[in-house]
Amino acid sequence: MKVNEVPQDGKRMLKTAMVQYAVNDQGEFEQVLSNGWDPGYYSHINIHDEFQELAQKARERFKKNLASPLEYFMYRAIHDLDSLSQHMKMPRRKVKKHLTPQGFAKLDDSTLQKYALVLLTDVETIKNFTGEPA
Amino acid sequence: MNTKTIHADYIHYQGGHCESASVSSLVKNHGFELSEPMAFGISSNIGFAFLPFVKVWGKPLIAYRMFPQTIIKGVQKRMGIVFCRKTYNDQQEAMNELDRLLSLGVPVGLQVSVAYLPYFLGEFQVPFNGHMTIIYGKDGDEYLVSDPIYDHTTRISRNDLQKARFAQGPNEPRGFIFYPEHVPETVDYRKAIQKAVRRSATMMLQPMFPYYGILGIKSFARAVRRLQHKNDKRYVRTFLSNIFLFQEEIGTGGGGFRYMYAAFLREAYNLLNIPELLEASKKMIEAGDAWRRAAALSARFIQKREDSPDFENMANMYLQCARVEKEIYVMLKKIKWK
Repeated sequence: MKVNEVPQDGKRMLKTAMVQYAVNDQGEFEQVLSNGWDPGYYSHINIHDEFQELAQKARERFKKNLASPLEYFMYRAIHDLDSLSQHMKMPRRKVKKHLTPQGFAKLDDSTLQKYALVLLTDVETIKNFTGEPA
Repeated sequence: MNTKTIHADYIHYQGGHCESASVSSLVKNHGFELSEPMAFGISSNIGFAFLPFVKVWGKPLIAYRMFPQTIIKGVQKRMGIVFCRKTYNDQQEAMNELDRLLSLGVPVGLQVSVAYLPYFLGEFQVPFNGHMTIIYGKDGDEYLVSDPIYDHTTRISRNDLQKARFAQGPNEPRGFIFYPEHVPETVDYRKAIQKAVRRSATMMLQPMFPYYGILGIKSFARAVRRLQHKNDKRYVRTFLSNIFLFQEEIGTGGGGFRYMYAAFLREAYNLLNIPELLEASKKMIEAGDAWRRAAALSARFIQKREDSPDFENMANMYLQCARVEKEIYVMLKKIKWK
């Protein structure tokens, strides 16, 4: 990659320029700041949108009493079942159980506290979740 | 508590990749010249792993380098720069130790989880535990952060930092800290680079495990080709977005670390004057360009301007990467080191 080939599209998800190593005319390497490449930005957006959509579906399911609030908060924090069970250090089947309304009702406070820490919220928000958009 | 320790002479360096940049930045601030590509190359961190049985967001894991913390270990082993590396069981002890080091005037590198860093991604908080950053001072209840991915320094509150340092999950930080304790007078670069390059070449050319090295790239290319039979458009789009992110966007210095490794080879040539290293560096740029072009083929599809990317072409491009890289590593392996 030459210095003048470094993409400069102006959009990034991270609020900073990115360092890329490019070759100048003398054949030496330089650190060149790139302020974003469009496909990279849209890759972020795609993954974000995917999880947003899943969260919306989980919200609907919660309103119909088919899912626990944890499912909504899980997708909101860019987790899925596998990664949540890894981050909670719990077997998959247990986490799956907590994602149902019955399993959620049986949760004790300390486990809920752990969930809240991993899912970047607090216990009150999870308990008082009504399914309405904030 | 209103303690204030700020290092007036700490210099913030930005880099392409979090770990190599924080190692190089800490060592530079300790008064020893170590560039980021050198830190990356000398710890033989270049690689390629395609693990279809390990899922990231439901998609196969693709990595272009070794595990976190290997750069620190590699630099210590090959160059003799001694790092203090510690993990903690007790959170309070870890924070107190950090305070103590800062009051002594030592900038400290930390492993943190990205999700708890408020300055990092804003709304988009990805759970990833292997990020490395540097704390260089303290102002009251806030720590001064010199994140090597960022072009400016920021601040973080004690509470957030503690959460980030003790996040749970795969490759947990457990309060990991590192800082250089001792730098050597001189380094035998010939020996160090020889070992580093040989190890990289051997690892990438390994003939047994189909998920790593050149074989890994080939099975990855096959997986991309198989995507054309997949009818679930959304799965394909997020999969390709994932590939793009891991290859070009998330702190790789571009082209899945290939450009950074090319910079390392060039630096090695400047030090040792072995013509093969220069040629390998030039070819490595070619390989980086090939990776980059292959990822760019899916760009229009990722941006939803196109219904289906040209999977055949993409797979062939990735096979091309495998061919170019194989030539490079074979060449590197045959170098006559005097």
